[in-house]
Amino acid sequence: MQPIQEAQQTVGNGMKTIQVRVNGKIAKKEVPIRMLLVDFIREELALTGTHVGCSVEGRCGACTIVLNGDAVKSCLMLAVQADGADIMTVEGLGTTDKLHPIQQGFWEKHGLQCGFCTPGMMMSVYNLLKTTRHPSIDEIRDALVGNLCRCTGYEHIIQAVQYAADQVAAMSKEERDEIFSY
Amino acid sequence: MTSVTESKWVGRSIRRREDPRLLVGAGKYIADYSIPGMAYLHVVRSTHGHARILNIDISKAEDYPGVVAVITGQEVADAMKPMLVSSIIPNLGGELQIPTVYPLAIDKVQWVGDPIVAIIAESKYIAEDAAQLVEIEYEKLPVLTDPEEAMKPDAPKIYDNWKDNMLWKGQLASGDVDKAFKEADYVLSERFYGHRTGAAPMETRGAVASYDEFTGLTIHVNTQRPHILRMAISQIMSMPYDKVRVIAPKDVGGAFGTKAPIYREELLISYIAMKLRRPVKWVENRMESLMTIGQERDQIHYLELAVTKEGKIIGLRDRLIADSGDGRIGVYLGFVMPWLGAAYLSNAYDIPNVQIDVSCVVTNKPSLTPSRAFGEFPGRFAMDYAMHLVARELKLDPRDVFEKNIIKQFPHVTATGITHDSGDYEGAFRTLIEALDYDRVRQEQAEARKNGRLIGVGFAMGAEMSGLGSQIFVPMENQPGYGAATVKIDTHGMIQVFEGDSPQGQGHETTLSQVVADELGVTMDDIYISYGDTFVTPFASGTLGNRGASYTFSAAVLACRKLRPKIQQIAAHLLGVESDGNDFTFANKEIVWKKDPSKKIALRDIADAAILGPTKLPRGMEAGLEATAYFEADIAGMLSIGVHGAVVEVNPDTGDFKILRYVVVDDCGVPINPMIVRGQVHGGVVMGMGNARFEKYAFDEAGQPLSTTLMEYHMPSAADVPDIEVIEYNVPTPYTPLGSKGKGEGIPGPVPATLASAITDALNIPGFKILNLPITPESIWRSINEAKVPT
Amino acid sequence: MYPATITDYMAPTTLDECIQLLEQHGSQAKLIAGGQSFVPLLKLRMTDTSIVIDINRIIELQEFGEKNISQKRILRLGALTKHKTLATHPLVVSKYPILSDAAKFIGDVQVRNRGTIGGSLVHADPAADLPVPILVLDSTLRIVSREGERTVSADDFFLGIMMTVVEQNEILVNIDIPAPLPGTGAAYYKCCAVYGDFAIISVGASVTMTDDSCDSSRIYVGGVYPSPQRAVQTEAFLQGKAITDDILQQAADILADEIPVETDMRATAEYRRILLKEHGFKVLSKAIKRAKEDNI
Repeated sequence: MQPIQEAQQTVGNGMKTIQVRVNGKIAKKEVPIRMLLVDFIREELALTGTHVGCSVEGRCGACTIVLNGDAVKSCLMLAVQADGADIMTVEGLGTTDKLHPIQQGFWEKHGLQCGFCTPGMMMSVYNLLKTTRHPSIDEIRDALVGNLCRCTGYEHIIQAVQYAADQVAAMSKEERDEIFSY
Repeated sequence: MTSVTESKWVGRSIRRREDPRLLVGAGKYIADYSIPGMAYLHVVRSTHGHARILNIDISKAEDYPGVVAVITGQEVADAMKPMLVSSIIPNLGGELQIPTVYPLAIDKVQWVGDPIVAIIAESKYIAEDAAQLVEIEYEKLPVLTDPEEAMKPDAPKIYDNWKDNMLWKGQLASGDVDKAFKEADYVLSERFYGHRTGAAPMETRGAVASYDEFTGLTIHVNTQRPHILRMAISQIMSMPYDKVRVIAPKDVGGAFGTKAPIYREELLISYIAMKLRRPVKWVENRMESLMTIGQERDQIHYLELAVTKEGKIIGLRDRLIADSGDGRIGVYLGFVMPWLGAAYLSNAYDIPNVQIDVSCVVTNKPSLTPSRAFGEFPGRFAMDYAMHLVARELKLDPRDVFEKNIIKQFPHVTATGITHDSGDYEGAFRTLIEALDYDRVRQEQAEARKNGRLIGVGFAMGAEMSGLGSQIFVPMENQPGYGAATVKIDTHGMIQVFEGDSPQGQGHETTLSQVVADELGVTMDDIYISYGDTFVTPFASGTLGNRGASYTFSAAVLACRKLRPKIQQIAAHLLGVESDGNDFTFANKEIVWKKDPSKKIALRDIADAAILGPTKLPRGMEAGLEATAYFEADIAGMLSIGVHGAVVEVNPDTGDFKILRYVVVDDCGVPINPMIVRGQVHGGVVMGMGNARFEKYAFDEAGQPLSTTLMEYHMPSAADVPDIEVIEYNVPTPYTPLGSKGKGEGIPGPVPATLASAITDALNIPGFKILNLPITPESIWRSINEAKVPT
Repeated sequence: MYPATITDYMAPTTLDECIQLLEQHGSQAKLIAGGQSFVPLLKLRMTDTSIVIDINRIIELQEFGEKNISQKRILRLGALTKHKTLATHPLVVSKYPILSDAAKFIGDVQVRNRGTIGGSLVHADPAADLPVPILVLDSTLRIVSREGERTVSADDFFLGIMMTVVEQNEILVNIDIPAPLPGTGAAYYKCCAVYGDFAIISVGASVTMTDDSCDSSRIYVGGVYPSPQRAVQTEAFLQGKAITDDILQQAADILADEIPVETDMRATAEYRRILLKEHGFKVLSKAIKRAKEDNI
């Protein structure tokens, strides 16, 4: 994808205009400087698949997104810092018609119960599988330290990641590049 | 998709129907609700553990741009009754002192986090800005954080009008306990402490309330019990029942008991929406959540076991002291959990003589609120670990001590009045021993010891409630125990199921569909599940205590079975055959005459006749195809067994340990969806591990909470827990139509005793004991040192 | 929990621009890099920041790699070097493994993807991971302001709990780490309650060996107040000694005795000493193992 331009416009009154590309769509909006990126995604862009599970500390990981190719916590960033960034949220991962292998893995292996941590969790899995072809169980567990889940005990999540990894490994390079384009 | 037609759906590990929406980020949780014109609520909370409020200055906050209203306690109190109305107070006998509580504190605060001022603003950011401008003047009062101190006669009183700090005091007893202790060959006597820890679901609490004078109050709230909350709001606020509508969102991000009580914020936001005539939204932040909900356990047990030299426990005596916190939550008041913990203390064991004295004491902490393994967690630790200590003292193999005491005859009523319906606890236990390869582990242990490695094996059991029948549930929570469901066939022959409970991740849309698909011979895709809206669903007590597969799903089965005769009568009429209403089979979305299978008719055609073309119905037959059923088991209670085992390796220098294996043998009667059951077991075990090892709601002497973010309240991540092996050992119960029992609630319970016994076994130090939770490397290291020093 | 109003936000692309902004806005302005510690402070409203200067786009802060400075080989880490880079970059993993040891312990993947070494060092949390290896490796930190630049050795950098020598109008630009002498190995370990948590204690050590003998060492302990402490007695004990397990055990005992430890929520002082003994031994063993591998 082509890099997008930063808006870099100061509006005054503690506001700023930013331009981001989220899930392939460009959005240009005026935001308060103090607005957290997660609130921008959820409330300004109405992408409510990204969740908030903690408040100050950014420990839970439910707000994880992929920003310029890396999984990051959108509650630990100001929206203005994302000016010019390319972002993927869970809504950009796959559709019900064409689930991403990660989503497929979570479905097949019952990797979710309440589903609240799942979008952020899958963003971290994306970060892992983008670069790691056959992750070991320990690598998977380590890759998920930043995403707390209270329902599953992680066992089925690990199976889901293994399932997804197998699917990805069986793909051609072109197919892989397509589903890991962020 | 699940479109393959199969005659049998129950018992298959079918992937969940709710998942596609959750996987693409289309789940709709409470934080995702918004209504045009909505304002945001922020609650200003006490910064003191115990203090009189001398003055509250809200003027600056009121003047802050974007603030809609600032509301203090008296105003809210004037608009309603004290919150603990009769319908949300248990009737468990004993002596109960009921605290008076309103949504906001008026003249006194009881714990750090006690709500004082409500700020309503145009945005959540502005609400927090204004919160900083509220000035509250306090006069500090003595703070009580230790229940044993708070029980002392000269302790300062937390509630001025009470006679002491005893919230509830009662006894559970049966048999001749004194005689048992006189006859015992050995008496074990220890003080066990299970610290304050609990659930902490990933989604915090939240609500969106709106009001107009014609439709009344509508509150979307991520509660586990919408119907009970509706009843409570109606009574507390003296509102006509038809003017209160509670709706639980389709998706709730976990609850584990924490979303079951009636909370002050729910009444507060209802009042605000009414007062302002404006929709109001509140989403609890994690700090508030860790300060307020999910704090459970916190029990001291002075446990004594009277044992024969063969290891048979003939008597149990316990003095249970619970730190109930302020006790001001609806339904539970901070004492129902310890009460049930006492009632279930003897676990899966046949102990004829029992006396348990329970004292639930108020302190300057938030009320205990329910958490998975409701009330049982400290008691399971005490009881099952004590059995290992008994074995050590009597030089018996703990396996034999457990086998000797396990309940073998069913139904079995314990000395505390708990009914174990059915099962094979002994078989499940033996299955675990085999799965652990117990004898071989013992050999490996001996080998490893020669190389300086300390390996140990331990185990524990958990007989968990699988729903509670009305006989127990009515006194315990003042609510019916039955399950309720409506099954309604629509104009297109699709089946809509309404359940009175409302799930939070348990997968009801999948499992209820599996159940109903079998009953009516359709596919899961022909079924849709509705829940959460109290204006639509039948009354029920909520999703809690493993009610689903025991009670609620059984009600759906009964509702289907109520419909089947009518469907057959219509089929017979339309096919022009004779029928007694029970001679058709239901399969492939068709109703087939058993006597001549060529005579069959699509369910859709029957629906068409019953709903759209009533002239086609037999003369005099009522139109429509729907039925509601209420299921009550023909037994006071159902339980299901789980047996846990672990192999650990301990570093005696630091007390650090590693779990090498963790195995669970689990019974849930008939599993409706084994994959979902396994998921419940994994999650329950890991919550148990978190509670037993890492998580702690800590307070300093001034009652200041020290664990207000997830950096201090250490929930385990994937890297902190081991693989968990699950073995099914299912014995169908005769007391539900499908033989199924609910599963999930009690699973954390056996974890601490399993780990503690394995660690103790590994260390093999005479006198080494783990008497306190959490089990941390430092606590183990301390216990090693204490055991080494002769006393 | 949301930040208080921020009146302005700038994202300079050059160091000059940045230090001008710092000068211009005085104490109202705060720098943000990865923000992994700073955004929580904003949310807690524990900082009176009305102007945020985002330094992520400044090229001069993004240097990474080995170079020769006045004939000395160094690893230069721009302040914006991410924890992820330290944890995974082959150069770091192979030649400066103590840095990747420590970086891998930081928080979690997301924090490592976003957090920077400069941010972590300037934040100066006594329980953070990177201060210890930076001290152990005898690094030099370059700090720039409108008045000019100065270099500070890591030993002089930390002033106390969340306090460093970096003044309000200054910015930490890079960290220079001398390439290890031949026969040098270094390692780091952190004890924590759960993965990704802050340290109960952490130990970092660098040991330079000739054959089986210790020429010199630098040993620091983190997770203690007010900032990581140097184990001078342990270093002195090891110097010139032929290293055996027994010697290392004695060294670990000295280490556990000499470092002032305190009791807090995470552990008691007494237990911290036990951990220091255990992990002091292990870290020294690992550092020496690496030193020997380096000799081969």
